[in-house]
Amino acid sequence: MNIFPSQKSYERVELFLRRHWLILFFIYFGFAILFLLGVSGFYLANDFFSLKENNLNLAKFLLSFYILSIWYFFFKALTDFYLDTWIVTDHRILEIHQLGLFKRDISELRLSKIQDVTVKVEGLLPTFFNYGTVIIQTAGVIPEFKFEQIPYPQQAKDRILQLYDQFIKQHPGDQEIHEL
Amino acid sequence: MSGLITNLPLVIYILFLAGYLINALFVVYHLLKFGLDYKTKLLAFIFSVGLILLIIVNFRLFSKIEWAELIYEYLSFPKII
Repeated sequence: MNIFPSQKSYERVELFLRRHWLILFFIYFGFAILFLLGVSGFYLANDFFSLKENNLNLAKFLLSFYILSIWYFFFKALTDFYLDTWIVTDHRILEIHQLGLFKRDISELRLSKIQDVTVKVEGLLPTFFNYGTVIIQTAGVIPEFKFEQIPYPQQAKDRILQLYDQFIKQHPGDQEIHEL
Repeated sequence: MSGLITNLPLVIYILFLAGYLINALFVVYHLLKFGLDYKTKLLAFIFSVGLILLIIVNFRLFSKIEWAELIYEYLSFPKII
């Protein structure tokens, strides 16, 4: 079964990565705060101004509109989170970046083009929760691939280097043996 | 004049809602078209269901408001009726 649309029949997905769950938690937390601010603002206004029936209806309507907006922006943020994906197969690396709703970058790198792999874990939270950035220097058109805020970056780096070694052994002269 | 003033909130509301729904459709489209696993499909479903419920609530709250009364109260239009 294909995990991504351009997957070849002989290609096996080895790593399917998204940002660390803590980033998702920050999105949830931020929007929960915004929601609570709106609801508490409504109750405070109601208590403070003792709103009459029609004004109370207006306040409820505005609160409902506010929640509707939060709902939209929350899911837009989740869309960005879930559509940013890094896929490592036994043949290539794919970097899919969703930048807002109308910009989507998909970059691809054959494993043989890898020159160097670096791991960056910077800061208290990344160190504590074990997430960071894997930077892959390439010999291709795009000078580097960045797997941002992914969980277990060191393990990901080791796996990528293992796959690179396997690929080089199985594909002498960088020829695709499965398509010959 | 009176009809225009009282219908103005409804016109503005419908325009806002139409803009909102178009943007919401783009989110659902992206989740369904570009999502690579079941999670994005599930998100699209939750988003759509929540959206429908919230819009129903929002519309009911909108229709409860006496807009003419509010407009005359806050914007000090002369009452024609």
